[in-house]
Amino acid sequence: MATQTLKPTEPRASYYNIDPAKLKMRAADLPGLISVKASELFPIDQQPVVAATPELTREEIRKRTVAALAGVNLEKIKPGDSVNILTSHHGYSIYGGHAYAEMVRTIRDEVERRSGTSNIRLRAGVGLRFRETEEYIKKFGLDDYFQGQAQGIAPVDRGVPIETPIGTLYGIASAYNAHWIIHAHNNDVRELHYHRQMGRLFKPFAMSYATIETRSSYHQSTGPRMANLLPRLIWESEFVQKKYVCGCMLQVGPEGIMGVDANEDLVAQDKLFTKLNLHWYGKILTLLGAIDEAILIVDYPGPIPYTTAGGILFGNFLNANVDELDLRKLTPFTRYSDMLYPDVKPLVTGVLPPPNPAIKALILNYCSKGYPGTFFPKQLPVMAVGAQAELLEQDEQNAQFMDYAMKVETLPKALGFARNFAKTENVLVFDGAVGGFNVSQSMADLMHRLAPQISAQVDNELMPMWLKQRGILH
Amino acid sequence: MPYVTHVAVIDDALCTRCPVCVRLCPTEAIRLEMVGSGRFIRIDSEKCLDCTICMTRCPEHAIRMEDRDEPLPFGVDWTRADPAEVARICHAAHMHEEQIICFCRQTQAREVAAAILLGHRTPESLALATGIRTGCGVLCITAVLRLLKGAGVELQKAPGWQYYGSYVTIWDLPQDVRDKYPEYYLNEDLEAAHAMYPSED
Repeated sequence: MATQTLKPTEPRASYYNIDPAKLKMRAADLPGLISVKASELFPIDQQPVVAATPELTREEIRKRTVAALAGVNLEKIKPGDSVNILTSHHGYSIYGGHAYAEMVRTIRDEVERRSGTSNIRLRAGVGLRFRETEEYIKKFGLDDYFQGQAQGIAPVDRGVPIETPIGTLYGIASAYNAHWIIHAHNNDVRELHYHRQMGRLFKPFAMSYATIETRSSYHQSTGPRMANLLPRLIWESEFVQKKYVCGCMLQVGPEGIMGVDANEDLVAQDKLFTKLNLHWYGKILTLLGAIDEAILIVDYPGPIPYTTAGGILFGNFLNANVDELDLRKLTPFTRYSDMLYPDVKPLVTGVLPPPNPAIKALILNYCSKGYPGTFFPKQLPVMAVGAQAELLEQDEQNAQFMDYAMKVETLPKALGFARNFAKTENVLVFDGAVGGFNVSQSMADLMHRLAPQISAQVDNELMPMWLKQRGILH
Repeated sequence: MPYVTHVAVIDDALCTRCPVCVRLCPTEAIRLEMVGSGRFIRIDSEKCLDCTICMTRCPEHAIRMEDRDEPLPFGVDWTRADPAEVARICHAAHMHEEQIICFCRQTQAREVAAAILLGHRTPESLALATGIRTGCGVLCITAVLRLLKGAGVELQKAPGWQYYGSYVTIWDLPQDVRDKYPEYYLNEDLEAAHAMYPSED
């Protein structure tokens, strides 16, 4: 157990965040916080990609991307053919985003080197914050790298019809306006409450590469598990298959960047990463579910549910009272449950579990606007700190958020108040820490105490069930 | 009554009249106008509900949000419509009357159903009346289309860009798809949908 906290993700100058100068204090600087490494809790047999400097890390990612693409037929792309490299916003934020950006640059260079075409475009899809990937394109110098051919795309843009066995769905036209597409993505466990680790690698085909009706069908009109069939059917469509070259995935785990993988068969690739993710994330996710009480601090330049530490999200903790990897179960928070809470009490009882009752208080020290999240302050005691509260008051996607949340002037005051009413000393921070968590001493002790029994429970009971539900041999 | 406190303002010097903002505005507050021999984008401040979609998609960064002199109220009092008809439309769309269908504005299904009954019969008119679709602009379009369908309103022509009139619901999935992909829990989710949402009968 380390007495020093892990370094949080740097604040980000963005339309969606407060001015970094207004961020008065990071949670990692709170007195009494220490850190717990993921590897201390649950050692795994693969080491993350760690080099001495950011430059050497990028070199290593480049080397691994070249090696991964060596197994893919890029030669079917002919000189002069157009190629769209499809990317998504989240990749550019994983552990600072440099590894993903380097993977994307390397894909471009390898396509050019091996196919002879220079007509290679970057398409960067978004969640609900339409300027976000434009900001990343600028940050990572990708417009210059792609010779003026880098473009942020959004779900309100012009669509293109894609015929599937369940009807016509729509992709974003500019994502598909090329002879070929390359799906540059990642395996981060991220919004497990949506993808449930059932076709996780397919999801952008119904999300960041899709227009609003398809995304709305996924979130509001199909079902919390079966929605994941939509991206699968889009990928399987003749329209996509005739353009599809390969998936190139940044491999990530709770301990950091793990490597790069490329495959022409997304079904096989998804199965590989399903197995890896169950092994890499299953124990930590189960451990979260065993924590009986906690004050959570969000301190990361991302939307509330996507704030992260040790490779897992606030959203994972919100749902941790249910085993999200057990496909028989519905999870507390998805848009399907969000719809059923017009106020504090749900319209229907006995079907959906409540949000994790272990969350005794949620402190928003730093997070992005641009994600509809009124569900959170309706269901949890939420405090927003200083300028962060002002940002949320002006958030066009959270018209009523601050009607339910409380503004507190400073982070220490918010934590003091939370400790007082929550009657717990357990603190866990989602601040982008790599390879572990910043926590209070009592939370560190609890995590260490629980880890051995969680490890045995996952190995002996849960992992065989998770694998079996996904048709994977143990 | 909900209200907005900002309004979109265009900088004619930066604007190229492309006209992306005209196509994307969910309330049709933006139009391309001929003034003399020139074309200009004009924003009707009485119709702008502060979604910021135009601002965040403008390729020239020519649109900014400014404070309004006075807040602009919007919204529909659902009790002005026949409650039985409101319920019928909601149930036909497999929705509870109080169900939240716009997560950004917290709009309820009964507000949109009532607005339809009060004469708002397109997604754009419903957006202006109720505020639905004036947050993220993404997640709730199928709810709007389902309610219009539940009310028996046929869209004359989907405009494209914002929506095309084609979507999927769990109640409409073909049996062969259910049989082919059991690993996606289609039957189990249909069962959950029956438990979570009402139906017309």
